[in-house]
Amino acid sequence: MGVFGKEYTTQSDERLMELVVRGDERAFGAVYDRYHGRLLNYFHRMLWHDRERSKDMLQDLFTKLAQRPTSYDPSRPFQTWIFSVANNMCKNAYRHEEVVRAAAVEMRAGPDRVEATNGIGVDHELFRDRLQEELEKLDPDHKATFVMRHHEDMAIKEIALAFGCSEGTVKSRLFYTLKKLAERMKEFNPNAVYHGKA
Amino acid sequence: MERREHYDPEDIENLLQERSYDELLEEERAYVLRHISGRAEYEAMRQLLGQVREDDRRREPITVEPEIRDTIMAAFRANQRPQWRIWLNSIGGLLWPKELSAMWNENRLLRPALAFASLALLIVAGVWMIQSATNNKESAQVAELKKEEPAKLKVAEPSVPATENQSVFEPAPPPTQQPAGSRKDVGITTGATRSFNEVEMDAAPVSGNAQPLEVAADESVAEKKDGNLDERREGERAPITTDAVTRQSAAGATQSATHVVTEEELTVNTSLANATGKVTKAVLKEKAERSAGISTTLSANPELLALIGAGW
Repeated sequence: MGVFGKEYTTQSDERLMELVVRGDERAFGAVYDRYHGRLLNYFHRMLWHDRERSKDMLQDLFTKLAQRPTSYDPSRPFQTWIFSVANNMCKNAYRHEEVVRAAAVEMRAGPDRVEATNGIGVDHELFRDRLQEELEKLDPDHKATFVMRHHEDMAIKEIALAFGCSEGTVKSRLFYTLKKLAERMKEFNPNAVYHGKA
Repeated sequence: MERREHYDPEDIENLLQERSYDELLEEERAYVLRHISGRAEYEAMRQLLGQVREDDRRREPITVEPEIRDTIMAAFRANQRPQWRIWLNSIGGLLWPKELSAMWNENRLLRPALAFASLALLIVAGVWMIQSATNNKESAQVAELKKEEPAKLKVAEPSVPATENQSVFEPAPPPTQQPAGSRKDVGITTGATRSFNEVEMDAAPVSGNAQPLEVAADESVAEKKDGNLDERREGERAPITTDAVTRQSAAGATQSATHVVTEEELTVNTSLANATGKVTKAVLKEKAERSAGISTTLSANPELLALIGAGW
């Protein structure tokens, strides 16, 4: 069955990967086009908002896939598989740069920023930095679960498949991560300020 | 809504996204309060969740340079390409620059393609010269050999009579193979036997081809009648045999089953026999007498009998 260029966009990830394994360059291009943006954002969030590093990681990931397309397990959905690979790469990056990350967290943390958010309006830039700071304090699995769920809009089931754990574990991680972040970032909650003033 | 009672604490996320604390039903609120301290915490979590979503929407997507895509696709192509093609391409890239105009720059001799082509041309020319020189030498040698050949033939031609004069201790000449084209039919053993059998079977020859053989056989019978195989007779035998065989070869070209004995083979056989001392006149006589007793037809040609006994 011939797959024409127009059909590549409508093919499922798994079908595209079948073609990639057979050496179909256009199928590989379609996979890249479909996932490079999401994966880049994922790396960006997971790797301290470092754009250059995120691009490097993205390139590494797809280069590995290009060199060994057979490493993909066809029994798994491609999306969960590729995100689990990306997550493992992030974990490796954490391990290798633990000291650098600790230094970066110290540099980013500053009480002045919190003071600036005391008000009804929320500075999104500050909120983003603060959220990132708090996420980096979390366990990597909890952080990755949170990012996948709330930034990549992945379903609970897909996250469970990506981590190789149960859906209950994913839900539990999400709940306690959210609870912890809300506790640590309550200064960004206008209602909390209102209640505090009251 | 009753199903919510069976939800796990982590399912509160759905409630956080959908309703504020005040909007929760009594049952839902009771369920939430089992895992959350109160309204403030619920609202804080709800607020944070909304801000995260909002922040995500506001965030500008990060773009990737097209060079990254090109690099990745090149990696895929390189991985899919067979190794021999990679090798050939590397050689081709080395020899042949991408821009053809670069082949004709000032330093054209430094271009690998031209340099290698010149080298190949030199090698080919050198090999050709060496080969031509070798061929000249070989042709000279062949010419010398051609000069020797007639002398050998001259010696070989009168081989049968000459063997009489050869010493017993003289080594027999080694058997040499001649090309089929240069073969000269000299004698026939099986063919002659067949003709003898024909003579046996048919009193009179049917075809004209068999006639000469019959004549030859008759001559042999006449010789047998004399009862002597003296040297003179033997000396005469060669031309007779040659004549007979020449006639036989002319006549029996259609006899594909016969074995044609060349002059060379005949010489070798006779020489071998002389060298080993197996052929003597007495033996020849005895054999001739013996074969005469066995078969009158074979005894008609004692020369062939001698040859068969000695060599074959």
